[in-house]
Amino acid sequence: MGTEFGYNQSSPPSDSPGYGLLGCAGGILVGLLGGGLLLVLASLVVAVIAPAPTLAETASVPGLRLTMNEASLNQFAQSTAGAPVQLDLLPGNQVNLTSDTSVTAFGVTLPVQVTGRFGLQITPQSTVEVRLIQADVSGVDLPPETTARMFDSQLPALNQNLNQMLVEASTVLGTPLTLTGLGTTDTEFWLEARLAP
Amino acid sequence: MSRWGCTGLLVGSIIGVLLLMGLIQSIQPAIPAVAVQPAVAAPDLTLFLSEESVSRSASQMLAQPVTVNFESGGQVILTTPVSIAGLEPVVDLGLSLEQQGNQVVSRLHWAQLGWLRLPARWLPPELVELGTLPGQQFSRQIPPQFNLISLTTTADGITLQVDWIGQ
Repeated sequence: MGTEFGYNQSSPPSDSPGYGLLGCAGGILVGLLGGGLLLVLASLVVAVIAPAPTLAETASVPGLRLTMNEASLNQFAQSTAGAPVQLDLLPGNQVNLTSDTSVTAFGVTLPVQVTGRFGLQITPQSTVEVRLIQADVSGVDLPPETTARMFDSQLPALNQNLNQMLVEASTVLGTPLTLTGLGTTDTEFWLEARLAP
Repeated sequence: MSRWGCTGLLVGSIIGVLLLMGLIQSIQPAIPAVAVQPAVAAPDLTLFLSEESVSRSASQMLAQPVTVNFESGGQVILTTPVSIAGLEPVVDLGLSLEQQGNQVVSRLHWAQLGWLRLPARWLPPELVELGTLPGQQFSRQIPPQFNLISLTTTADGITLQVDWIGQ
């Protein structure tokens, strides 16, 4: 076919399915790369503008709960007291402590068994307090006030040790602990605390 | 552009996006459930720590806000800002917590940035290293007089059971 320029001018590109396939291939590439790039950018933007994570406080769940069984309490007591002591947990936040020891009076050493019943409670200052309820000494006859005084020197130290353990726990957690519960059964002692706001 | 070309490009773009979604779905990493030691009926000592307690402890250790979400089967999701190219995006880190002898071992499995979840093998070593810290921290809290016998996680928190080995 002749033209005014003296060569054959090709006809304009016709619309054919071949162009469709080419467009489809290009579209897949655009979808994959563009979509991927958009996803990365959008994810980064979402993550950057996201608020800093905040702690969700669940009132029904204690922050910390410690449960110790009687046998392990006994092992712990014996290793720290350095003397044969026997703890017997009782329901109602009470514990019996029995210790075989000896008393020297008038140059005579007598074997005695000291038994104390203690109550455990949480103070308004959120500390654990162990208080003597009743004390007995078998083997010698002593007035009740003398028997009770046998524990006077040990109780403050025991209370201090217990509360020192709580202070250490709060240091590990990075926040003060508020004691929320304490209890005993025949076989277990448990303590619950929540983190101070 | 021809009508066929335009239609092809449009269809191709849709196919491309669908392919991308399928590709992302196929590489979505999950936290494998770890073999959990069964809880002991009467351990010497049981310590339960709530998500809140662990989150506060982690925030203090890392000196930045951290929230920890426990799931059953030793699965943990830790959310914290991470420094990337001068930005501080909030990232979710998928970890597993496992008892190995007397130690608690944690391992990073994925990190999620916005909608993008990347497997640990694609992440920088510093971030993978960060994933081992929770396990080390838990292990450090177990006094030498105690032997770890069980570790379980629930949606509420983590429970560690230990036996007294005495000293």
